Amino acid sequence: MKTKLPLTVAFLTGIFMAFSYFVERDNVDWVRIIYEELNQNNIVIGVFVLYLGVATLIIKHAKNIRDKDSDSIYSWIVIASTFVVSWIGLAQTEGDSIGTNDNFQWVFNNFQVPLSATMFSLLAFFVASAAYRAFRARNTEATLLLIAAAIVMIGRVPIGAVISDALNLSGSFSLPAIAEWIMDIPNTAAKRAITIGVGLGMTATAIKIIFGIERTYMGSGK
Amino acid sequence: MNIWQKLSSIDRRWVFLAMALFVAFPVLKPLGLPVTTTKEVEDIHSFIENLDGTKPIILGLDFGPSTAPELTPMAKALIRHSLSKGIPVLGVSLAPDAPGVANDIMKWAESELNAVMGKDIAYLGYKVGTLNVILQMGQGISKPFPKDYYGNNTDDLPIMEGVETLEDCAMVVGLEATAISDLWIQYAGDQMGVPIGIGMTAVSAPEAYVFYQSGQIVGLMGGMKGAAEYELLVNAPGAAVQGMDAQSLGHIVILVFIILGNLGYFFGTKGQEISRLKSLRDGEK
Repeated sequence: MKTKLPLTVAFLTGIFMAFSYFVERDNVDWVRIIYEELNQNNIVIGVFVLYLGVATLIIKHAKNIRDKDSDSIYSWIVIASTFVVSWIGLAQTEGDSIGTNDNFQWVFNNFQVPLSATMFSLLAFFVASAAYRAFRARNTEATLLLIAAAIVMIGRVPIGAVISDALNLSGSFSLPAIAEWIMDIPNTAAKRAITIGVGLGMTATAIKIIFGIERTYMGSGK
Repeated sequence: MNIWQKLSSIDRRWVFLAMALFVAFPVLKPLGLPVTTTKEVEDIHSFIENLDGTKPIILGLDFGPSTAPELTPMAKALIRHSLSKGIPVLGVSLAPDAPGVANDIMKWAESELNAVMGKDIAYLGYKVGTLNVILQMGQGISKPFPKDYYGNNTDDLPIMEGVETLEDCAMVVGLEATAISDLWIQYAGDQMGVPIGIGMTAVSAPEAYVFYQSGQIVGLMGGMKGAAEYELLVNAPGAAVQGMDAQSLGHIVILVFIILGNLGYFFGTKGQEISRLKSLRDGEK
């Protein structure tokens, strides 16, 4: 039962969702109703996943505090932030709309925005350092990658056009035009190949899940 | 250690310092580098330009604060353009950290563009479920969003007059920091037939060129450069145009360090390695 029930649910749901794309849903009531219900249920499951995420976060950091981990101060901060922000969001919202809660927006603007911006902007420094250390023309492939990256980096920002003008490079030979060509042709060719490959892989995996061949989503695979 | 070896082993704190200086300088003293527009951005602009204003645009505000510097200018330029053409804008979010940013954008439109909330613009908030939310919007926009972000009944908003499903909207413009764009394209675009425009962060934009070339999206804005182009197309240079100088110099700094590293590698480390191999070979002889 423990195995058969989820396999049956996966089979029926998978077959139905695939089938629903081959009929005019709006004209066949029972297909439309089940399709809408399944979509709605998926959203409800998504909400539970959010709670699961919060619970996992708290359990993990509570364990760090209990074990007196050397970084447990950060766990205190995470747990305190979770509860304080949740309290501001839940207790101070009039009605059922967070959009009217100015305190929540204040916390967002003054804590999450600067923290996220700081973390993301550090990327510029680490990318520069990593590029300096790792981007070496060690062989033909690395050299090609290096040249393409340099052209795209310069050609995609305004200074690329300025450098092209200074070097008298115009038309198809200007840095922006070459960068655009790299993005349009080699980049798209590679990306399309990857996309088609991923699509085929997803289809194969979906078929395996629907027919119960792939069972690892149920846990240990037993 | 000779000069070439030193070049290939510069302390990374110097790299950080150079980057900080060259990014900060143009922010304090703008260089005014010329920004040129590209076809993929012009295509979104001309598509909106040719809309008649009877149907709203869905603006997918699917990004949080970390990518806001790239995507917020796109959102503002798009809202400015749409409202100037009398096209209402209906914002939705499929990313959990998006509502705070989206709320600020909507408030900006209210105060800067005198947009009337609920009539010219509306924001329906965030709903968990991504793909299922898009599919449900195809059945009825108010199904996943029965109320807007501010607690009003979605169906009662003046902007929703004559609008029931995604198919009743003029287009969807998804501003994305993740792969949510793929879902807008595959389901709202390919399945429901709604025209799609995409704005992405610079690191993600190369992935969307496939869809632009195949005609699955009407246009594409990539990173701050894409935002700057759109700002120029609507004659309202803003944060993105200002940011292009800093981004230009930032890229130059990275390129200069890559060149220095390679000079050091060829004339230092690699040169030494070649000499060592030569001496080993001579020794064998």
